Amino acid sequence: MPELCFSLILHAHLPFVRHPEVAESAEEDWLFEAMTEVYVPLLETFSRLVEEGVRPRLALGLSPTLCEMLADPLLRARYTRHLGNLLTLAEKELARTFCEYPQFYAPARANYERLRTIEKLWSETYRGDLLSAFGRLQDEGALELLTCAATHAVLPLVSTYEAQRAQIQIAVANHRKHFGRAPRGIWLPECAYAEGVEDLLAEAGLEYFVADARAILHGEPRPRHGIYAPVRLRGGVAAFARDTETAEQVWSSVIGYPGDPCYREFYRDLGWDAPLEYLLPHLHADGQRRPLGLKYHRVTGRDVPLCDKRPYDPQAAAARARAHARHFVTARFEQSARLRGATGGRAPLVVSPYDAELFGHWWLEGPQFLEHVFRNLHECRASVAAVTPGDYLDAGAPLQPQRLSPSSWGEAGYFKVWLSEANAWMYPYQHAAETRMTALADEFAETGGGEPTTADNDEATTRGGSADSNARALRARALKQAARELLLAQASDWAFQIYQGTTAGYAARRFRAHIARFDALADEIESGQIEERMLAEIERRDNLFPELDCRTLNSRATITRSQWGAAGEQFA
Amino acid sequence: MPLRALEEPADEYETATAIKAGAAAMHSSPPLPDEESLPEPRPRDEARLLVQSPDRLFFYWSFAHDPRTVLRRALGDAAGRYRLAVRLVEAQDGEESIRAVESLNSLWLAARPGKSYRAEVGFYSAELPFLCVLSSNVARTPTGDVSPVGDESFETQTAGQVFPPAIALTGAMQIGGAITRVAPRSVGDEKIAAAPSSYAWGLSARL
Repeated sequence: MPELCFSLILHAHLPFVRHPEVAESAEEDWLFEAMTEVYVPLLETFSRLVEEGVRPRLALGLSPTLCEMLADPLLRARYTRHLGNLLTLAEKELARTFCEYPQFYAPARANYERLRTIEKLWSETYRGDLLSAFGRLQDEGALELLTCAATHAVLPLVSTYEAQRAQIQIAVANHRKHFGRAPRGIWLPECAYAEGVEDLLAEAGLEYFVADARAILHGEPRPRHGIYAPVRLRGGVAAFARDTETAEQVWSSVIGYPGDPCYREFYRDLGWDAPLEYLLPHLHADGQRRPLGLKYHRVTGRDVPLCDKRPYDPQAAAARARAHARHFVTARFEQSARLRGATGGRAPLVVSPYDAELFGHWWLEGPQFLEHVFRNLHECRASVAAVTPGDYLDAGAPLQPQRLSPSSWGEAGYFKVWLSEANAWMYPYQHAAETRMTALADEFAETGGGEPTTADNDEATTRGGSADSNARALRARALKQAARELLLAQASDWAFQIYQGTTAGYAARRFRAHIARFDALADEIESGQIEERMLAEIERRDNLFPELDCRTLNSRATITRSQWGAAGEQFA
Repeated sequence: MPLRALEEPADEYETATAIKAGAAAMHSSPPLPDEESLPEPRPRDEARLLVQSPDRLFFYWSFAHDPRTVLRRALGDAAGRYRLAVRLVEAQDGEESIRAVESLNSLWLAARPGKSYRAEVGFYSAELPFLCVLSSNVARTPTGDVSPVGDESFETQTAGQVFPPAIALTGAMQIGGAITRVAPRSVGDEKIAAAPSSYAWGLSARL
């Protein structure tokens, strides 16, 4: 029996940033950077471990918006172009640094070799299909793939049962589409929980979710095993709590591993440092400087200004990642010794969730760190067992029933990040759209996609395509698209970015755009006058979830409101 | 390995076709609804109370018709004695607080942990009862603390044999009835403690 069970959970998510209306965009670059620096390297890392017989075991959540973008032909094509551009620049940098900046030749060489590997994996190994590669790792027993709410909405701030249910049901359907099976677990966006969410998860067939430590620690009754065992909620859904110790070891800006002086500095980038005329062929058509992902400096020190950062040494950083991985696993032994006896006769479970994008994007050496963590865990697997939440549930240990506390993993532990003076203005519009969408779905969602029924089609065939059936088909499209616009408006990313002040302008514009499109479509559906050109353009841009079933948004629920909470009651 | 030229299409990804289709669409797309400003909200009666934290609530409301007009029609000159206000009512203790809100449509309200609240918007007069026009949903604040309720009934002794399936999945082995213990690796003299960095953007929000 192991002394401790360890469950690493990575949550991969990006908002839907597909912009076919322009040839290139900084927002699509977010996706391309994540593909280059995170998703392909993680696939490579885990695949290599599997091939070498060091089977990692972890849970990985892929949000539905991310899945839709990774599967999108236009974005795949643009990524191929992006990667080629980056590789060309990286190759030019070999000559430039060798001749003019020898202190940066080693990191330039490392960048080039890394990009060559990524390009080869993308084009030859994965052939542009990262989702299938993740699915294969699941089939091989390395990964347990989770879903997430459809557009990463913070569910406690979604006003209606129908809209919350749609976020869950659409996510599960999307996961089935991409991976051929239903997900066992779900990553609640921002670990944001409020009572009632578990009923929606149970209805969708989900077995578990991840919550912040506060949800269980402040739950009722007190948790007998603290955060070191999951609890059972109403409907049978289990909740796993985030471990604060392992969170701090990685996330903390003061003591976290990524802040080590050896590691690559994120904020110095060739896109800001090299001469503009040299960079122009590799920038967007607007010629504006932007981060390119080619970086040559190391952290050097917390208080060292960017202009004084020292050259990056890839070998020293790799050695540090190995050492940190050993330290992390050693710390698990120390943790298990401290917890001995605290959880009765069972091995404590340490759940360590992180944003996947930390590993490789913010922290370049993150994938190397994970590789060595799993190598170390493999060696000591009899003592520290790497498990997934599903594995733990399969072991059949009884779970304490509990009622969780509303909470999130955001700043201060509740909902301040997404409901603050900066972004509270969004909710009257979002909530009005949620109510209106349910009314539209109740009235017009005749079939799963709102498409004409068989009887309609027979009638159309008989009468050579009647105006009525054409109008119904157009209405069905508009209804589906209105649902998409609502889902996109609900994305927590917009409120987050506005709160953080990072890309607040873009986020506000996206929210306004989706609300405006929703309202326009809703007006046209109600009036029966649908402008097809406008509808087609909106469909072309916001093309996610073609499998969307509008009936998930109507009020004919399969569970009663009293099971969710009294109508309109929040956190009751 | 030769570099892939920028212009070389990867047929299996429909590179050229997809990019050209996007470029063509850019030149002929119809105008979309204005995204620089939000549409005028449709007038409707709505009052919603949201929980931000154990001690803070956000309340917003809207009216389908101007309630002052209705009040004047009903009370005539006596309507002048009233002011539009928000009343926050705590469901269990009956505690109330009232604030004037003449030209507002939202308000941040102080609350206490572990309480249920309802917010009302209506008309207040010092000498007369509060006239409620709209009432919100009930919102309960998190307790913000460990529960005073324990669970002595929950079984805490778990036999070791429930874990072999999980162990088997991870490849761990039990040899001769005893667990093979691997000595933890020492980190030696290497200085491991990570120095703080400039990277922690919003990531510190996770703690």
